[in-house]
Amino acid sequence: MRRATVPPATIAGLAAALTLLLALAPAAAEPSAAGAADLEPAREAFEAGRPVEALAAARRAAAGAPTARAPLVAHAAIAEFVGELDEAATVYARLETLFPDDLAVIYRRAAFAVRVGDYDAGLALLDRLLDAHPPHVRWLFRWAPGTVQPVLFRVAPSLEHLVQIKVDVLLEKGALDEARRLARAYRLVEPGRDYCGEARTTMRGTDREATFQAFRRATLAQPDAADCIWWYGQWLTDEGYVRLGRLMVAEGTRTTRSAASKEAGARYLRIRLGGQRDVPKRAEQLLQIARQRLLRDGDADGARRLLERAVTLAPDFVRPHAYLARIAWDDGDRATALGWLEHAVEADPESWRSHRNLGRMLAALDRHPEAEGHLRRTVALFGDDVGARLALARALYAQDRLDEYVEQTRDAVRLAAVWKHDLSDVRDFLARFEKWGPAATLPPAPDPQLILGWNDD
Amino acid sequence: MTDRARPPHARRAALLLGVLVALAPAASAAQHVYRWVDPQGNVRYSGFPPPAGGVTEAPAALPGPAVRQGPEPARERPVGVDEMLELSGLRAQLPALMRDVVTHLVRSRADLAERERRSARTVAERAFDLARVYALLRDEYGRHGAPERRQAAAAWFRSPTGRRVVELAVEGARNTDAAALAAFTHALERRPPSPGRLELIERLDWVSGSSELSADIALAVQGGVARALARSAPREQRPRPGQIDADAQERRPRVLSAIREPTRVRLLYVYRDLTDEDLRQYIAFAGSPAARAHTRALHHALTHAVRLTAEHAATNLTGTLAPTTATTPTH
Repeated sequence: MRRATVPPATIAGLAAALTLLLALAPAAAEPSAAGAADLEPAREAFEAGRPVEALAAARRAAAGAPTARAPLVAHAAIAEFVGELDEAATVYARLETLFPDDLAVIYRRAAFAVRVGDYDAGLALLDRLLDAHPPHVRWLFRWAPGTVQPVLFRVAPSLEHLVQIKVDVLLEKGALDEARRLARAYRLVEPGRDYCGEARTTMRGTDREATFQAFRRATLAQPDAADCIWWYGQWLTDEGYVRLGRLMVAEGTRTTRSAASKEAGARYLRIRLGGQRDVPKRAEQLLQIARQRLLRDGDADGARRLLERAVTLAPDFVRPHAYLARIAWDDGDRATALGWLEHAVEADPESWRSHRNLGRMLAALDRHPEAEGHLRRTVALFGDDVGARLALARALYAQDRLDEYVEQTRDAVRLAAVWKHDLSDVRDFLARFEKWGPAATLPPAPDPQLILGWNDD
Repeated sequence: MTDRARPPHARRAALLLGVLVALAPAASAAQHVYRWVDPQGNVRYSGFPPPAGGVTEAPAALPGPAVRQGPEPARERPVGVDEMLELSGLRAQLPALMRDVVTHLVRSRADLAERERRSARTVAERAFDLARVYALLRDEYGRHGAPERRQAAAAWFRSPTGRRVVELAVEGARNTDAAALAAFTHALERRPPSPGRLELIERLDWVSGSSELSADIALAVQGGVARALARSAPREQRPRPGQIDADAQERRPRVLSAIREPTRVRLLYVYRDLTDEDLRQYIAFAGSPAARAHTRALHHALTHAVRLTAEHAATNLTGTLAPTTATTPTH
């Protein structure tokens, strides 16, 4: 089965733990033959990348064998995967009633509780899983020194996964000191190792999992590595996280000694992550799952439904608006697309990304004076935004404000050069303009992704 | 450069250029771009007169006869959309343009066998019905054109030089075949144009956005086809939102670069009978705000109409052809 939308480390941990726990599960909990056979279409559809069809098949299987464990687990897990969180919660509740001591069920319920932000319930369920291990393993886990834990984890790998999940939960709860203590106690991080340096190297590559792991370890092992903690938050933000992203950027901002960095961090929280606006975990998860259904599965209709639910849960959470606008735009429904972005700007007037998206969309519709207003606001909020400056330059050029076009373009080229990015077509257009004066065609306005944390949506 | 020596991209693009080249021709004598030097010595450009203290220079340092200034005296009635499209030669060039677009669209489906290609052409020709395309284009031009500037642009189109330029462009669109162009290209190799002429042509290409328009039309065809195919593809194989536009944006510099040279050859060919002086006038007009507003609106309208129609054609095509052949177009 493909992975659900939780942080990569948690995913890996949960998947491995599930395998182990299923192996540990008592024979009495094995699915009935009828239930297992009915699950085959669901499994096939899921593995073929058709999760919605898989959910329909799982529903049928569960309805056909309403007391069998496997169809119910599959039903709940797939409903959770596709973002039908209420449906998943109902089925998990039924599983809890039918199989209160089933380890696989406890594990799935723990994962679900963490997903919807019910952290304390998740932690309690993880403790129950720990209690399922033999007494001597539990004793060693609780009392043996840190140096022994890696050996213990080799014998009982599920324990390491439990610790990793607990660390993630503590991080999400904002209990950073506790998470660090746990990571140190169980040797998830080695003292004295420069994880931050490793993260800086890894972030230049394309391996998302490695980047995530490196930042996470740096955050856990090096409390003074303000930049790394901050970059971790910005990386998470680009990946679609809000709550953990906020916590990490806030921690990096708190830790840094640089006054300029403190100011930049506070601004990032305000203009990129919605400031103090409440974003329920469930709304964040709906956004995450919708992104996957949209970007991975190409399921625009399914994504739209989830995004609309996220907006209902958190009307001033603007990130779902951006995706709703994009879906409408791709459908050719320009008015609805603009409507979503206008609503986003109203809901969060300091949302850099919303002004940016709206400005670019208006420019694409040749509504340059209106576009200019939003793009000016965008660069006022984040002056290093090369793509927005180029879009602004283009809108100015379209209005024959040619000096201002030159000024914005030069600024964009200079900023891009800082990131070693050559805007050759932009420079070429500017050079011709300076040689020959304005042309009928508007200047190019590429949107390079240059700075971690300021992309996507 | 000979047609054979050109990269395939350029050869395909060149198909469009014969007609596109003249779509951004001209504008008014009434307005120009001010080039001036500010008190700090910086060269400035604007569509408005410089503020006090600025030293005005000739419009973009164009040599040749001065462009006549001041409003057009006679015609004051508003210029309608149809009239502008007529005066600028667009209406007369549209059939040839659509023919080339259909050819481009069908050729973009390199996966088709000869027989399928023939039926694809029939389907595409039906989709690119002239009246339909013109209606799309007309509406979009009406929405984006600057009516207050039409008067000035129309005045130039009615001028002797304007009429001559449009006439040559229409003639070029209607009657330029590959053989004639190849012969012209060979002749250029033997007797290259003067550097001055070449610079004028390069400048005309710049100011009128001919290459850019050709590139955008080619990308509009590809984008329209990609959208149609995406709709009929299995959900998990569909492009992610925004991907088609992003791909087009990423591809555009390469397409543009491949198109520039053939465009200039084409411009040399189509306007071979214009004197350098006429060309200078044409360039001066084409760089004026009224001309740029007209050209930009036309550019926008044309790419919009082609994109929608290509999508419509490709949708019909996908429905007509066997599923195995309904795959991604070659670019």
